[in-house]
Amino acid sequence: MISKIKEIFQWRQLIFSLAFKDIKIRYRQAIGGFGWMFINPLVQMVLFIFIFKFIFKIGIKNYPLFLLSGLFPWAYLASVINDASMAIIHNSSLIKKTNFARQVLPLATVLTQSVNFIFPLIVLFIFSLISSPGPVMVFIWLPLVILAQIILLTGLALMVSALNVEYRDVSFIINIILTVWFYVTPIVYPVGMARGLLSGWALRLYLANPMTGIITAYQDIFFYGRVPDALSIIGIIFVATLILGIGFWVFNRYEAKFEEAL
Amino acid sequence: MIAFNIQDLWKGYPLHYEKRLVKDLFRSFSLRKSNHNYFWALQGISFNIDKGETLGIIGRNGSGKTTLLRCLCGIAQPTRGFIQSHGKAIGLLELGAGFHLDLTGRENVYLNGLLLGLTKSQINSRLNSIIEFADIGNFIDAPMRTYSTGMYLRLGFAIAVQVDPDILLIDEVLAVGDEAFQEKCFNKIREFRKQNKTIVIVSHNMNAVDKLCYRTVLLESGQIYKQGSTAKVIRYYQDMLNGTPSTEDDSEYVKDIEWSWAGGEVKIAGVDVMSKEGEPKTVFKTGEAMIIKIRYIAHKRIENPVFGIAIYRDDGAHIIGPNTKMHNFKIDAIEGEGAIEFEMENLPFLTGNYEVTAAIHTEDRRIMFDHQHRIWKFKVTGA
Repeated sequence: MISKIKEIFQWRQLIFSLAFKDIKIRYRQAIGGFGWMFINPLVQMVLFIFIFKFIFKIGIKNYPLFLLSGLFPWAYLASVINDASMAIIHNSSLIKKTNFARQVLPLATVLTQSVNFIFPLIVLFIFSLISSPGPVMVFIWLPLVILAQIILLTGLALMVSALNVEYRDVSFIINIILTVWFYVTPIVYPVGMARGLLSGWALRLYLANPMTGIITAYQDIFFYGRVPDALSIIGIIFVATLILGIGFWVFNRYEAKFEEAL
Repeated sequence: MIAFNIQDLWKGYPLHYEKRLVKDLFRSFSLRKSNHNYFWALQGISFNIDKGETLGIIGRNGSGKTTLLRCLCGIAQPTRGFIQSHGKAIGLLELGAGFHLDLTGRENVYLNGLLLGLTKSQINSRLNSIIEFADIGNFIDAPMRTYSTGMYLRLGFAIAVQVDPDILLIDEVLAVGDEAFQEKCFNKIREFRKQNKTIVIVSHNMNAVDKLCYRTVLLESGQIYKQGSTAKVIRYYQDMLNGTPSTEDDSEYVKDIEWSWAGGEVKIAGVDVMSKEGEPKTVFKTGEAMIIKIRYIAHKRIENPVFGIAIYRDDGAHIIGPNTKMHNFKIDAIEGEGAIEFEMENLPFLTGNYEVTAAIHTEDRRIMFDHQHRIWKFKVTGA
């Protein structure tokens, strides 16, 4: 395992190169260039402010900010999983013709989407500064929360990229899982609501979802302006690392078969 | 020294790969492992590839050539058997792997170079020679979709040769591009060969295999059908394709003997094609005198060596093949550096381009010390 990690580390420049290739290709030819990266989250923000101010009246104060603090990190997760599920399949010619650590491909998709995530984060940050009364100091917790999410996403990316080669049904299953997962994570509603409704095992199961803790932490920082629960973040990092380990194991198990399956 | 030791190599590809999720779940309950749904691309291949050797692999489409190369590169894992390799191997299964048409040539150089295992700083320091070799000038900063096919391939090859492997595995990439580009590729491969690198060439281009490889393996249905000296194996293959029975060989160095290849005790250092006065010369007239000089280096004492040359027309026709034994020119022993000259007082060739093969072997013709096939050229114009 250590030697495998060392091998992947040797290919780090390739990971960066592949990730930035995707970003460059996507934005180079558009007149708006990198501006588009901002426009998408901005439009979403303006739309939400408008909708929840004039159309739906929700009992949560400044609901657009609440929603976006959960929705942007969620979109980050969804895009990593969707891209990673195709990371190996779409690069079948590279798999069949060149010899490099295959982990590079899902890792590059995580990196690409992590860079893309910077722009909604900036929008969220500014939105939060303008409309939330919290102390600015809480933002120093943000890197830790993002780190926890990156660890989790890396594990998931490795897992789905490998499994989708072996079992093409995986990409369909992913869609269903993502839909269900979205609603069992406190994104559109506050976590307190779930705590009120569930109890015992059901509640424990609900809270075991690492995205619950991650989204709650984002909401703490951006919406409530308070320090997130440190114990909970440590717990999430632990779970995320476990998932990373499983993802790594799954990938190694199926890696040798990619060339046969593609 | 051995570069590859291949023992009973089998490679199977599962048929019906799709729709296996449910089946696999059932299988894990029944614990039954199915084994018969495989297409066996390689079926029990065993042979060695020596260090410093240039080996050709030929065969029909679907005979398993590329699969074998993929196994040698480490891209594909053997289903059964094993491959032991010594030295860093790089596979060129495609020129410009990972090239993206929307990126500039320069950006693609980095991407492709990294894929081939170069580091960024290595690419930085080799960038100029890549651009120079590819000969694409200012296009290097233009998006690749503006490139012609030739430019694309030249850039791909230019990057590939910058990787400095001990073992180079080439799949059909020589068959592409125009003649000038092919010649460039050939020269680069000869350069690698001089550096004592192991080279394996998979090709349908018999001319390329004939020019570059000492020894060739013919695959058929995933098995080794024939192996031995290139000219002989190519003849077998062509007979096989034509459906004619194998004809007896008449050329001097390809008689039906299994040459064993010596480990470089004697090497051909070079061959000079000269005028009667000993001046290098490449254009002759019919009837003129010609001297062909084989320079050798013998790293240890070799008794009773035989030096031979063969002259081919550039379309591959074998013209003559004299050797020292044939002409009762007895050499007791050689050691160190030296040269042997073949002199022809009255050149019997007609107008055309000719190529010279040189060889050094034992008297009993069992061991081939060195064999440089169709490497030196000369031209004959009318009298």
